[in-house]
This record gives sequence, structure tokens and C-alpha cells, in this order.
Amino acid sequence: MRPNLHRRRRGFALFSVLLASVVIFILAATLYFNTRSQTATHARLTEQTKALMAARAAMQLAQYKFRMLPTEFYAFDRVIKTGTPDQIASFTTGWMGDFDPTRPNTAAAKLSQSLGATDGGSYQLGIATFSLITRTGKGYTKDFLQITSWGSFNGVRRSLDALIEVEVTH
Amino acid sequence: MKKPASERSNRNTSATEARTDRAGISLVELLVAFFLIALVVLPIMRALPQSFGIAGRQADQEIALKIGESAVNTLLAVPFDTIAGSAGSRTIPFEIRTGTEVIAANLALNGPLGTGTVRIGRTEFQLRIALRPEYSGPPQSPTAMVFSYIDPLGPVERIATYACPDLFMRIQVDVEYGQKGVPVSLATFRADLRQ
Repeated sequence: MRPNLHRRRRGFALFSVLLASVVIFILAATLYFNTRSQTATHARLTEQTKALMAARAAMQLAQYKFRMLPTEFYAFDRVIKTGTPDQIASFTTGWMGDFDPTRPNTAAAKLSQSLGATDGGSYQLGIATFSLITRTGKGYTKDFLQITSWGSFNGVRRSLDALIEVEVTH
Repeated sequence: MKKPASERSNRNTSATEARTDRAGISLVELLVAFFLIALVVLPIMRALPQSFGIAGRQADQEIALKIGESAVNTLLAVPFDTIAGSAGSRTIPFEIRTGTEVIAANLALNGPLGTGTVRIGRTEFQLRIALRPEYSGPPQSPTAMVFSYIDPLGPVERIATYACPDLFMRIQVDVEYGQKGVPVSLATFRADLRQ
């Protein structure tokens, strides 16, 4: 009877130790992979912030172009609202072409190149939408520029929306 | 009813044997347990400080990223003259809000360069700012920023160009922290929208 008892107790003790070891090992593995996962998350956060900085630069570009060429923008907007598809396509290319980083020597391409020159990463920035929104209330009309800019760093893309009140003579 | 002496003696002998057996097995179990636990725990003890070190550095790097972003946003919000016009020294108030406190700091600009220091906990974050007028000038110059548009008075295909006479400032903020951390570097552009 006793030897059986001994064997059972010894087996149980070894099993407990093995179980504890496995639990500790799982904890260690979880900690290790958690650290690796945190590193990846942090790298993504850095890329997203840099992409957002590029989107801010694109927003400055869009605002500057509007400040310099407001009449041309209103002409562009008029064509967008009333023009033929061909006219709309031509005017869109004419106005939005500066914000296309893939075309050589555009403003967007120059800023993208400049941002990447010191950083070493691959930047791109541009404008996705550039439109005039008019809201008519009781006795007033308000106009807003709706601009959506985007920036990307090493393929990670972030967008920025802005609604800027402008004065248009109706 | 009393049991015979011989039976009691047998029981005592058996109990002693059992105690002796148990003691021996416990010692072996203990040694095996120590060995197994040492096998598992020793590598973990070596890995833990490394893991905590990485986690600490990542936390610092994330704070540095937020400080850098906040500094860039501050430089985008101040009057354009502050970052572009004056050659002397300027001080820009700079505030960092953590979950528990508001840390007041300054960005000290001297010409196109600037510095700042923020201390959060035991870590000191050093900011280095570089402001550079990157694009401006006539259409032929290498730094010209040229915009194109369709002349509303001409035919649809006629594209005109316009060279930007104002500054496009490049704003770069580097944040250094600790001894082993990689500095965070953020850059953007600010256009002169005063006109």
C-alpha cells in the first residue's frame, strides 16, 4: 500500500513543478512578444506622426495657392459647377496638378523631396479635395474652403481636413 | 481494549520507515523542482531587465514624439514674423500637458536655430529647432515655387504659371532624450500667408 502512495505523491509533485515551469515560460513568452508588439506599434506611431506633418505641409501649400490665386480658384469652381465634363477635367488638372507629388517639379513633389532629404524616409504629400462650400442662412451667405490634404511616410498615410471661412462677393 | 505490544512495535517501525521514505523523496523532489525552476527562471531574469529597458525607452520615445509634435504645432501657430523675420533671440512659451500636470517650458529661438528643454519624470527632453527658408524667389531660381492654373480669360488648354514670391519655411524639430534613445525628428513646411 505505502509504495503506491509514495509513487502517487512523487508524481503529483513533479507534475506541479512542470506545470509551474510551463506557466512561468508562458508568462515570459507573453512578455517577450508583448515587447516586440509594442516596438512595432511605436514604429507605426512614428510613421503616422511624420505622415501627419507632411499632410500639414500640403495644407499650407493649398492655402497659399488659394491666397495667391483666388480669382483663378473661383473661375475653377464656377467651371466645376457649370462646365462640361471636358472643361471640368481640364480645369481640375490645371488647379490640382500642383498638388500631385508624382508629377515632376510640382510644388507637392518639391516639398515631398525636401522632407525626405534629411529624414531618409520616403515622403509624399498632396491634396485630395479642394472645393468651395456655400451656406446660405437668413440674410447672410457664408463660404468655406473645404480642403483635404494627405501625407504619407514610408507608405503610412494620414489625412487632414480643414474648413476655412473665406469671403466671396456673390 | 489494549493491543498487543508486538503489534504496537510493528506500527512504530512502519511509521519510522514511512517518515524516512517521505523525507528522502521530498528532498529529491525539492532538488528536481529547484533545477526545473532554475532552468526556466534564469533566462527570464536575464531577459526581464532588457525587456523593461526596451519598454522604458519606448515610453520615452513616445513622449518625445508628442513633445516634438507639440513644438511643431506651436511653431505653426505663432505669427510668421516670429519664425521668419527677426534675426535676434525670441522666446516662445511652450506648454506640455501630461495626465497629471501642466509643464511650462520655452522655445528659445536665436536666428534660424532654437532650443528647448522639457523634463518629465526623470527624463530630460532636449529640443533642437531648425528654421530654413526653403522656397522663394523668381521663376528661374532653383528655389522657386511655381504654381500653375488655367487662365479663365483664355482658351481652356492655356496653362499659366505663377512663381511664389513669399517664403516657404521648413520647420524641423529634433527631440533628444536619455542616452540610448534614437532622437525623434519631425519636419513640415509653413507658408507665408500674411498677404
